[in-house]
Amino acid sequence: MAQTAEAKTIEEATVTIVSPQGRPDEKTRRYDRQLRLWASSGQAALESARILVISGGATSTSTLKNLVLPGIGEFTILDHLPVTYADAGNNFFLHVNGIGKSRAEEAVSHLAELNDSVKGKADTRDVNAVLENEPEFFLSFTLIIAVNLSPEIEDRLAQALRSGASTPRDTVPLMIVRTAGFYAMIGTQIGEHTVVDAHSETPPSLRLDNAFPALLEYARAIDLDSLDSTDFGHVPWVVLLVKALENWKQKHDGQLPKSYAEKQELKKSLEKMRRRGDEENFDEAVAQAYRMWTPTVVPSETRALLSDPSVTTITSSSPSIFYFLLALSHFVQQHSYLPLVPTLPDMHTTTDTYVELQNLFRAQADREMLVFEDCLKRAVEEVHETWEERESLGLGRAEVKEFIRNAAGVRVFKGKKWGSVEPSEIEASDQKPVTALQNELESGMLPAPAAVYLAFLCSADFYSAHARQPQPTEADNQLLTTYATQRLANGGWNGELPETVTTALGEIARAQGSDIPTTAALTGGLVAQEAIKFLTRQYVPIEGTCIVDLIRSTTGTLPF
Amino acid sequence: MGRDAYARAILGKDLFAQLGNTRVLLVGAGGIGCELLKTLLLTGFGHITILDLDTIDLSNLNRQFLFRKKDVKQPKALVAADTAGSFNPACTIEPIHADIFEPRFDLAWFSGFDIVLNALDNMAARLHVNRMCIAANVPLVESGTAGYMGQVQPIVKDRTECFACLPKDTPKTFPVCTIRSTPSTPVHCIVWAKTYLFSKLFGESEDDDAEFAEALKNGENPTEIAELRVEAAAFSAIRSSLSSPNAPSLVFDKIYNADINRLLGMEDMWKSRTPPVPLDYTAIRARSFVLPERKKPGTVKTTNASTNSKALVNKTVNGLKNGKREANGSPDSASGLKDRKELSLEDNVELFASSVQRLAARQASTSQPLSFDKDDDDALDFVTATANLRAICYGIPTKTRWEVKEMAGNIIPAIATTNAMISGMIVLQALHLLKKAYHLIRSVYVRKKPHSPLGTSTMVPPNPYCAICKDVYVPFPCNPEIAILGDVLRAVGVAKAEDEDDDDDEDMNRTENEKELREAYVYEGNRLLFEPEMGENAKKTLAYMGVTWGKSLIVTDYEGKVVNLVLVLLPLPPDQGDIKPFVVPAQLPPLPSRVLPPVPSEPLTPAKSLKRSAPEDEGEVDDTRAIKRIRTEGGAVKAPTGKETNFREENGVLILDDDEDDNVIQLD
Repeated sequence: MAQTAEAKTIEEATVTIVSPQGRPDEKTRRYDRQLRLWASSGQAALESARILVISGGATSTSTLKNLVLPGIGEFTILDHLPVTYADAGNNFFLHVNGIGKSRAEEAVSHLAELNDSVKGKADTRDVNAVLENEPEFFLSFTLIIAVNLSPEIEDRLAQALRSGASTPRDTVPLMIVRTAGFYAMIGTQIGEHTVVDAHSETPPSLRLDNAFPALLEYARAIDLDSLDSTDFGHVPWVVLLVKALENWKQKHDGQLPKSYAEKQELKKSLEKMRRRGDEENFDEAVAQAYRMWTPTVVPSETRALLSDPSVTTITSSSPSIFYFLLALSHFVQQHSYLPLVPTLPDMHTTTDTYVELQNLFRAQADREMLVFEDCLKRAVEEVHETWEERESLGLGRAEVKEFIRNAAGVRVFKGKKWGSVEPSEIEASDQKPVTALQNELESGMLPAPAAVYLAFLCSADFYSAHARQPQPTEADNQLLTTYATQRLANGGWNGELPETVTTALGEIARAQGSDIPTTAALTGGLVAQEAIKFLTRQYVPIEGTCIVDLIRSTTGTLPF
Repeated sequence: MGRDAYARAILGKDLFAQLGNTRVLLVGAGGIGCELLKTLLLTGFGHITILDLDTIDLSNLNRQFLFRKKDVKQPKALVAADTAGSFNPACTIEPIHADIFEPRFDLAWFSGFDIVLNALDNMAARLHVNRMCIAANVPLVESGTAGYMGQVQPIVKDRTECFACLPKDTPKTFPVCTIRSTPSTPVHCIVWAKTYLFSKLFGESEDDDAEFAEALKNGENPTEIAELRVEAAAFSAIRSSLSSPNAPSLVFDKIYNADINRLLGMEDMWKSRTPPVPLDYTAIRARSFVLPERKKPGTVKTTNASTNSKALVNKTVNGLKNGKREANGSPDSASGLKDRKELSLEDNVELFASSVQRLAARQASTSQPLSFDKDDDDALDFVTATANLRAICYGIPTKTRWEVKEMAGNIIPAIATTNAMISGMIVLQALHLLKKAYHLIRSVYVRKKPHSPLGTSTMVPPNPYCAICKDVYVPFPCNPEIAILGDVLRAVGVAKAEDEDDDDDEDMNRTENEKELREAYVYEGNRLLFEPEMGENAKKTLAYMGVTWGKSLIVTDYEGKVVNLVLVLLPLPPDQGDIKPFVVPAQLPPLPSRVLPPVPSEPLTPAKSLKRSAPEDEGEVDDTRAIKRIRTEGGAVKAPTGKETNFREENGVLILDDDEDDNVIQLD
């Protein structure tokens, strides 16, 4: 190819001249597009991850592809089965010439080609045998994804991970994935999970309802009447709001407007400050007017988190995030807000003014950071550590700044168990879909995730009883219906099977346990995405059990 | 169990058999394209044509899984077909390494597919494929991703909204003078470095005249424009000495010293702005340069950009400036990655000198013009250094190389997971479309909601005001070299304007169509070729005006009473020989009445509401204005012919690429 030859020449011609400045290394260039999402801290977490995927079917390899590409450290496929014709038809990483060979080994060799820096291992043992003889094997991974296993094995695996964990915090996260035709289900078992950066889309508060002293002083110093019309049109909206609100407060005993009428009145008084009527900075101010009467508070989720025992009773072995949270609870006791994040939104003004304003916010943020550090020092001393050790505890200045920036987005999830076969929980487990199903029917909610979930359970019942997948025959449909009726009755459901359930059962039978490419592609993306959230501790994971219904092109979640 | 057992069981025998004979066009072999090709093959599609203009870059490999490191710089379409093709030999894959805008991809070509799947990254190509699919009446699945977000939209003519039914965000634009003389934000400097300086020194030598003329028309300062003409002309001298060893100092002296001093000479310009300071190359390198103190403006002092153009979108400007600044300075600043280092004045000068030498060497060795590419390290170094040095002149904050890359490249984060989900969804919608199960098709959104990762919406019927899918499309076989616009117009019932001195002998069809000739505007893309008062183009051939196969003539009724007639050009059938200029369809389909959109409510400003109530604005004139407005809002806004056209057509302002990086089919 002439074109390629020429392109290479260009590369060779320039490769000898090395840029004197920081040229990013090859890894940074390869991962450029994702680093812009989860930053190098997230990338480091991925690169130290060891992931186990049990079974090498289509959804498994689709998921792994999406984890190998962004560069996890290492993966293992545990699968004792050989490659079949069907595998070679629905799995991009298994080929016809591998039929009869180990599915784990074939899949690993093809997946490893995707990224040289990721190590892949094949384990050809039967998962049953490993659970029996070496349950501690599973504890050596950062995250485990179990795809299309029998419910019994899923439960034993979940149990093994729970009993192997010294504290809930250390439980190896387990993702349970089942697929059948156009349906899929994703469940999780996770110990305590902390999201250090939720990447919330809500911008941090500027606290304009109660401007900090330096900002107030700055705003007061600007005499609007003395400005020429160009300067008048470039007074930033932040200043306009502070001025308008100050006037209001002077006339109202220092109170914020409360009622709708009062708010409108304040807004009108802002409009009255215009000269011509089309000043762009005033347009912005009016659009941001709500900031004047929105009281700055500690978000309720954060407040709840701060009173949680995991925060109030930290020990010297708690991760650094809990020291920060304890410090934050001290901080909010003194102040009714979170430490200021110096992020100034866009505004119509001059560069110089913008920079001045930004400096004001930065200086204030620095002051509050020092106050926060005092709180942090107190927290450290409460658990009998010394403040001098802050760096080694992961509480250095850089970490403090990062925590403050993300403080409103920190979440701690208490975790949840997976499993339906613990004797004490059997009834409760059937109660769950019934309640969800009732909610679905009452709300007329379509599609029906609870119905699909129930169909998955019945399909598993079928498999346990007959050691095969249900087929789209009348007899099998009848059996599935029986299981469903039974499960619903156990959960206190009286009445006919809802139509959503019969539809879902029919679809499960039609699917015959198949792992089809479209479902595998979508589910693989979804599961890998959730895995990345768990590994990086960034972004909020999906709540509860996720049901994928591709007949209706949608997903739903169930609250368990 | 056979190889296809699953697919056959779940899709049903009929659909599965149909797939084997289905011809799919996959436009784009990037992030979504790679995933999609895999899923199509596994699902059992029999004939796949995959088209992409781009070559593979290292930064693609974190998601475009059909490519390996050894494939870097190879054409995407060819490598994708090669890697995936071995998987299912029963499927024929035709890879095309080309631009979808080429004339050979005409209406007949599009009509040869049963379904078209878009895996594109840019608005212009999306709009083009949308239009071609509407014209050919082929179902289309449109898609896109950005980080964790993604979207799939099935499109069927007359049944669903088309891609142009909802107005799309237009690219951010800046007035010429802001970019060339009075930047006030980092992004102004980056646009200057990337779009203007880079191409002046290393790119296609462009003709600025059209741009300047347009800027004048938009009321930008004539004195400034005159100066800019002089400045631009001086570049040809610099270009010719790029290969000399002192090229860096020549270039530097011109742009950061001579040009800045010349601007300082225009005293009017700096009455209300902080003036820039010139830089001294030799002094900086000798470390003896002291940046002159800048006049500190008052508490609120205008240093803002040109006040001439109301449309200068200060908001966008500031939005970019501030949004990006905060978003990027953050989590990685502590991590010490090399290209996130703040560069000093001296660092920038060194980077400038070395990048000029590297780019000049490349240009000399190939004698090909270079174009800016964010993944080209030399180009990015150059833009980083030159933008920062300009920022220093103007007292604007500088940016790290990492930040410049994101801003200059309009980089959108991209990951494998979202693309995988989207590809699954595209194929599902394609299956519904092929089965004609229209009640099942959905627009699907991948989003960040923890309780509902996929959003779904049922299909919305076409926007009655859409300027794309409500038009009437007619295949128009012709030889553009000999087809005369006036003749074409008359043949489709449109008057040629004041051409009565013309001899009408050649009008064979005259008696038939003479009865009622209507008046109309004629466009190609956004270019106005003809209007009743300005008919000189009527005597020109279509080819002379650049209207060739694959393009369309849009006939817009003068009075706006009926929808547009779109003549889609394609070759004459072989038996028509070379003699005939064109073949008029035996019967033109009737043109339905145009539904006029409700008058959009303008922001309430006293000036405008006054103007609105003025009597001369009522009546007939309004109709045509409305139509012109739809033309731009409906989406047929960007001409597919590269930068030059963009400059001319986008009201004399510089354009940032609309390149979203993923699945690149680049236009320029």
